[in-house]
Amino acid sequence: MARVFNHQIGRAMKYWYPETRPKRQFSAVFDINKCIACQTCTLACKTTWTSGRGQELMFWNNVESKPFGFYPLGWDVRLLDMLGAQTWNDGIYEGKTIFEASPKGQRSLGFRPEDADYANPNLGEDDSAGAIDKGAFLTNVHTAAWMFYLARICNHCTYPACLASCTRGAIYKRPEDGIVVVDQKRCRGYRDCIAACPYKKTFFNPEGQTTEKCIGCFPKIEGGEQPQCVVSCIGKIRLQSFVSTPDKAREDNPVDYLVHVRKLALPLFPQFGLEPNVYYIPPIHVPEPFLVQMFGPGAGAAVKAYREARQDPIVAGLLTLFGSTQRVLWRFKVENGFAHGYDEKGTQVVRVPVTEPTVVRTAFDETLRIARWNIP
Amino acid sequence: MIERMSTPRALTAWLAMAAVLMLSIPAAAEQGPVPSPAAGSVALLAVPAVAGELPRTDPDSPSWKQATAVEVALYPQDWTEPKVLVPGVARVDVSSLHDGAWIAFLLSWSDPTDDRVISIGRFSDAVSVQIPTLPGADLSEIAMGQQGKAVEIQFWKAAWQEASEGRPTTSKTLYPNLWVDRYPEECVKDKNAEAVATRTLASRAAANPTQPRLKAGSSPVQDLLAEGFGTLTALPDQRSVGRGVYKDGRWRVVIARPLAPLTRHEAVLVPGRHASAAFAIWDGSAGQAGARKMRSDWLGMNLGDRR
Repeated sequence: MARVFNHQIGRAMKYWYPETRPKRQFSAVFDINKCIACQTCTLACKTTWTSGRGQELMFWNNVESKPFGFYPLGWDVRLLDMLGAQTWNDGIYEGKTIFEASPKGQRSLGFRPEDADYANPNLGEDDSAGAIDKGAFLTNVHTAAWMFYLARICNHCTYPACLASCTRGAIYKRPEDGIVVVDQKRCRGYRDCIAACPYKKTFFNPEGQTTEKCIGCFPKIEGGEQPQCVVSCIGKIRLQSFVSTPDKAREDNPVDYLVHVRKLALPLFPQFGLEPNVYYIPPIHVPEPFLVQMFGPGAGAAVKAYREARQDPIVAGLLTLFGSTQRVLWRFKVENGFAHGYDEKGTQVVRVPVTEPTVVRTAFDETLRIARWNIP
Repeated sequence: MIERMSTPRALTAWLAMAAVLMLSIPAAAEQGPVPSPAAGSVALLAVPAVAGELPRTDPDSPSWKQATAVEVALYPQDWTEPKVLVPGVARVDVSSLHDGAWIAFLLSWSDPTDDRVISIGRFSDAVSVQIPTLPGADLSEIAMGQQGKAVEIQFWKAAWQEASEGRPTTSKTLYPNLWVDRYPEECVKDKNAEAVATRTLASRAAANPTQPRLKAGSSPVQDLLAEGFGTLTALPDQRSVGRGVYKDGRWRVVIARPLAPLTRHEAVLVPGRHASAAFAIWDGSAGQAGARKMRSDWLGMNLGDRR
């Protein structure tokens, strides 16, 4: 094993291959607070990439309810249980990553789900973390119990466990954009990657007998467009761009700004050690210990910053750029009440008001002599 | 190798290694007419020329009575991760015959479970024969060969045999109650259906070399070449054949390959000469595939003269 630096855990760690970073790294930010689990992203992905034979139960993109929803069943809690209690100290992870905790003779710690674990992608949907007293749901359900929706795709990790586990080198990380793909000609269906990926985002196609996974919609990325799951999101919770390492973070890069500058968006289970590149704005109504377990020690500060986003014109402006354009935004600026987005060549591709103008209409329209029904 | 190791100490070490190699595998240590195995040497596999037709795909052929089986010990693959740490199938019985043009191996092992279906969590039983491409004492590294000293591998998989005999694994066979509205190829005109079906199955669209093994009427044996871990690659021309039968808790599988190579990359087997082979077993019920296997050491073979 080689020594590599993982900025999400604040230290060097063991990995199967030496550190190599792509020219630019595919990344996305998902704002969990806006997700309503409509599954439009799931269907956009499915109809684009996984409508074929052997892909019936394969969802490269899925949205599950937390804490009791899983796809596949128990994917995160089973691994957390195997890893055991671990500690963070002042932003540095002192516990073991899945590479450091690998059992004797293996390349990483993991488990391979069974067929049935994929059979119910919506298991646990809308289940809340606790019981809700009679009538409480009519007042304020979020103070009575909590749950949230976790939208997931492949994290196109900097240190992918799937890639490390493949004895054939059939999985590779594209040097041009960091997207992790399976070479469909090399794969022989050993399924070591399925056991290794802690996010369980490599899938076995029993008809083709190879592993298939999210390809980051690379044909779209190559054309300067954001992936299907991102552009189809009706809640506008997603933004895809490229993330820098912290030392090279740019304030005008939308992902860098949220991840490195404001630290609003956090990686999913950074303690596993893969340096995942999909970042989440954590849900603000969930107990902090749960968020720390899932998104690392920065969760509390991220929630606080998000609660104050309304007073922060740059964050508020940047959040309005989510779901505002099909084009990949390389640069943004917020100026005079508008958020501006620019593509790779610096051409402005979108301009959005930070605050939508509000029009108050009277209940009775004097011009038309008609009463309006107001919808609360 | 000797040229690179210029110091006398290194040369001594190499000679000592070579001596150990020659002692442990006497049959493989020289090339030429068949010698008598030295007393105390490891078992040799006699490969007589068959009287009658070579049973290339029939494990039950009476012709196998002409061959003498050798018990070959299997060890957990513990050279590279992922390693097998819990021993599985510990022994494979091997017999072999040739007809001057082809060589056939009958491989028989005890396995309480018949695993011939592949799904996310199910693995197929499989067996392989590995032969060094360079004959003589200069044996390839047993662990998948090494650069410049490739090994040729004939690989039989129970799941491929199922497909070849018209019982392919599909989502419908795996999950009979699965409901699918319509597959993409069912939404297009007939003449485009095949193209759409191919395009929506990535491994087929990419012409993965294992794809032909999943077709009815194909051979369940794949011809492969390797030059070290992770290099296993299908040969462009697939010629080997075989067939397995599972009965009374035992697999009996025939794997047959031509003696003469088609290209300069392939192993040469010559009647009247030595050869070496190694074997590996994958137990599906133990979740074995790829590096997770039970493997043998090199076994010397004496190919009998042509009849």
